[in-house]
Amino acid sequence: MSRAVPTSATAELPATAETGAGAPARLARRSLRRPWRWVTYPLLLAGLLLILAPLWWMFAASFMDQGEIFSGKLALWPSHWIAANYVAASQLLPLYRNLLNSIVIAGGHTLLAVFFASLAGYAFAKLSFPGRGALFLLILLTMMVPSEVGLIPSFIIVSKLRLVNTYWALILPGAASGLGIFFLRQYMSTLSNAVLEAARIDGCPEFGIFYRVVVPMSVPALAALAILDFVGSWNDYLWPLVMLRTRDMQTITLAVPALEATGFNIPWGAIMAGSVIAVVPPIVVFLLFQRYFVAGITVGSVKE
Amino acid sequence: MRKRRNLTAYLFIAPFYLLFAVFGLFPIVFSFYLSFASWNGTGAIRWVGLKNYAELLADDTFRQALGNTLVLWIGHALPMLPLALAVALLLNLPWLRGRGVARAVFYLPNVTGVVPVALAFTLILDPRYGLLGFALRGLGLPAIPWLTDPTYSKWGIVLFIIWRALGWYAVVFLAGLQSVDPHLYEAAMVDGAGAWSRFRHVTLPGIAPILLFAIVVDTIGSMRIFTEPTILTGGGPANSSLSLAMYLYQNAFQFVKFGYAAAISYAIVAITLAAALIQLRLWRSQSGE
Repeated sequence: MSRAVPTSATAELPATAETGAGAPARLARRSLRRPWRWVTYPLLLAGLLLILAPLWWMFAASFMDQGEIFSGKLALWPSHWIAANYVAASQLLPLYRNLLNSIVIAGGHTLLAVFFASLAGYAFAKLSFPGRGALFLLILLTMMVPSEVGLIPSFIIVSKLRLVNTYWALILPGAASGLGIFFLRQYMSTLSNAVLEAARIDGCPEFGIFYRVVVPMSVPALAALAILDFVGSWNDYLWPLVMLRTRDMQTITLAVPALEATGFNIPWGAIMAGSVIAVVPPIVVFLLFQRYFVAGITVGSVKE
Repeated sequence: MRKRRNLTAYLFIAPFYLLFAVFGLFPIVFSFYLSFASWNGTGAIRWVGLKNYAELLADDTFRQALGNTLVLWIGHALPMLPLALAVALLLNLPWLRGRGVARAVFYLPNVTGVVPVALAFTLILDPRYGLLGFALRGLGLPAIPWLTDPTYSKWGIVLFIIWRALGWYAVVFLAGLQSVDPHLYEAAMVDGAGAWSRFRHVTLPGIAPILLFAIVVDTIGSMRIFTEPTILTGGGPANSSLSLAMYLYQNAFQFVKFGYAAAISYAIVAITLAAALIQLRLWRSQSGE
């Protein structure tokens, strides 16, 4: 066990090895001689195919005739591309209404959650006030409790407020996001105090500082939080399941699986079409704002 | 002046805390109270002491749901976390082409909602018509009824969880790998350390905090798993894939036993806490050697 045998751990090299100069970098390059690339690329390709195959199949099946889906033969490409499943989905469901509901709910939830979290995040990052530590700790503690614990009381409160089966039932409860405060506080505490002090000396009121200085300087963090919130809310299932009772109030995420219960023959083609419609918006958001996702998920994982 | 500053600060946090008090804090506390009570939502709330918890201990369905949840958790975490680390190591290769695209593809399943993709997996995992069935038969392996047989139903769900969560953990690990000080590798190489020993003595200690973070986050998430089994199997067949959170939902909104459901929710908290504490313990004793 003196000299290491080449294992997959050979792959482990710092990203900076290519830029590093001198003997260590040369050593690094030598330990990764060509043969490894012949193993690495096929492995990577296989991994990517395994990830993409189900998504591709879902897409292809949404354009297949139901008979082709259940032909018992492997079909990765529709023999005839047909739109019938999408037509069926729009007949079985108030599809446009469901999409509109999803947009209103995810959008409203995101706006409110980011606004509240940015206000509080700023206060925790840059203002000192009695009870600051204790109040922040309270948020952290409740973040550890799974949200299912509050499911029944939250349901009771929303019922008492007569908000069941309304947009507010989905927008309000989730808008108090502890994670958002945690994230924004961390980002905003890196902002320069000198700039804030200068604005204060110029007589700018505290909300003006927040609005004119802090918000513009925090756009990357606000965008990251907004995108994660939007996608999370779009994909949410349990709370909408409890809260939204009628078809014309349901989100797309909730409406599509309900098709499984529509009749004797489950309209799988239409379900695949609805599923494709439900995954496209989050995928588009992801492709447009990819770098924000990475910024968002590593918060909390990398120590401060 | 100072007082005014304080007032401003409180105004900044007020909107959040108002909402937080109603929909964050109160439900947690009230649920704890309910777990010692019997209530169907309309009549009076009747205090029953520890009865709900005593009932839980004797409840076969609860025990089955607990067992299922633990299998779903261990079953996916054991293969997935090392696999995610391997993917992260791969994506961290400095000479690898298309790293950005590959990272995006691995992350993609996590962006797509559980519900629509699980619906697709319902068909993909079908032994006769599904994509996986074709692949397995192509390799000469038997087609397995992943979702319709009590022996396999949990494992069909496990496959789906791994497919969907792998990339998220890979990206988290990748962030960890990139935060390791490159000078440590150079020093190790100058000392003549081979690839494995660099991995063992530089990489692993360097990403230890992130590994622990991932394990704990995954544990917490697994204990509350709901949507995946609901869509894929509905908890069946014969409750063989019923999760704790599904049983909680059933008791709350189908049987309208709010007190009992609240007790289940606190049982989930206790189990999660126990699992996390055990992990921290093991971790300390491992890294303290």
